[in-house]
Amino acid sequence: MAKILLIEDDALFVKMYQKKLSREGMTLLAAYDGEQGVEMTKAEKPDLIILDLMLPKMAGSEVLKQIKDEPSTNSIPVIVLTNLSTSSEEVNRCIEMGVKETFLKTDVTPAQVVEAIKKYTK
Amino acid sequence: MLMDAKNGPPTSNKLPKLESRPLSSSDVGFHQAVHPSPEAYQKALRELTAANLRLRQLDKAKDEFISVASHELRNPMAIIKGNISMILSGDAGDVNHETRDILTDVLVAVERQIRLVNELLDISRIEAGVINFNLNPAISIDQVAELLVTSLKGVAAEQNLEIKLENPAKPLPAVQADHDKVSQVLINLVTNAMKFTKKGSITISFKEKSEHVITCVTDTGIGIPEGQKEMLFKKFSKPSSESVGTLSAGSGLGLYISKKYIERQGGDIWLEESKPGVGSTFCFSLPMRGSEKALEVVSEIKSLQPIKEIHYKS
Repeated sequence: MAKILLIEDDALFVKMYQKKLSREGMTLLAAYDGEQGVEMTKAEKPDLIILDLMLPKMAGSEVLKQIKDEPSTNSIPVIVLTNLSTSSEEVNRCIEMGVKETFLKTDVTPAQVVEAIKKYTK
Repeated sequence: MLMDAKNGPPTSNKLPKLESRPLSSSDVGFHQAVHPSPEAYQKALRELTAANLRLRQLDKAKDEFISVASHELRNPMAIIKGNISMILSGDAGDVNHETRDILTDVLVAVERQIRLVNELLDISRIEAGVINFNLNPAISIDQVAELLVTSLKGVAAEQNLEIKLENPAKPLPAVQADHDKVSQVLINLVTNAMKFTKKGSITISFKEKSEHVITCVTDTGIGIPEGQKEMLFKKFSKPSSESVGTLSAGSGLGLYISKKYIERQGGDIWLEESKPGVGSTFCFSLPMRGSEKALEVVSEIKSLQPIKEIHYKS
């Protein structure tokens, strides 16, 4: 069963994905700020990470950098799901660090994100 | 005379030396040119420095506002859209006809709101002068158009419309432009054309003219009445409501944003022709890669500060 870590500070957003992923037979873990996101990545070694970029305590790009700098976590696929436009510097930093895909939250439905998860957890 | 470090610039003898020479008739407005005293000069400089700092602070506040607004407005909309689409796809059990009908209306409304917020954010970036343009990869405008046609063909077919791509006679030169923004402009022109065309087709065509590639979108729609032509590219300009159904209601911002994006990249956008009952043609131009205009645009855009978005919460 695929284990997905969602790093996202909006509880309603987390709840929505909790429902969607459990219907798909996946387990969703949630981290509500950047620091917790890094800790849980190291402790849980999820199959895939969904990363928001505007997070309390630590910017998304810094979370990503720490995950990529750690040998035991740097091969975990990361999908960015953000409200920042695709041309923003923060998104570009993440693309340079090798995220699989970047979605604007309002552009996609949970079903479309599930498709992406399946693609990268095969 | 040394200045206090807190209060302003350093020594007066490091300031540009004021030239002293006899005035001649070629000194335009010479009668107004009064050489300030060193004290007045220092004072003016301090005031300018303070004003500049204040402007920078305001600019930063505006950037932060844009960023916070984008986050705070988009999250709830993403949650509404996501949950409704989950219900509609049966994730919460069977949905009866009436419920489906109501929820579909809600979904259409939230999609409209998402589009409006996207457009308002585009506008606040345009007006703050902080749009990022990615001009690095070469763009083939016909390839951008081809992708767009493929993605819109289905929707057009549902409305009994055909979208056609007129292949250029010879390969088009690459243009100097931001891929996403050009794509946004083209989507705007094509979806506008679809709104105002009940039957027939929408055709995208290309030509080359004085180091620019011109892209045109021609429809067989209702056309634009004479009185409304001047308003097209203005902010919040909308056609009269009887000419469009409620489903196609827009914000009146699309063409304004398109105009700003194209002009910023060294091109132009215009209504080529329009006849009521026959159709309309809109065109935009973009400078070819390596052309004089393109190089000028690159140096202009490089000189602007990119948008600073905040990406963490305290």
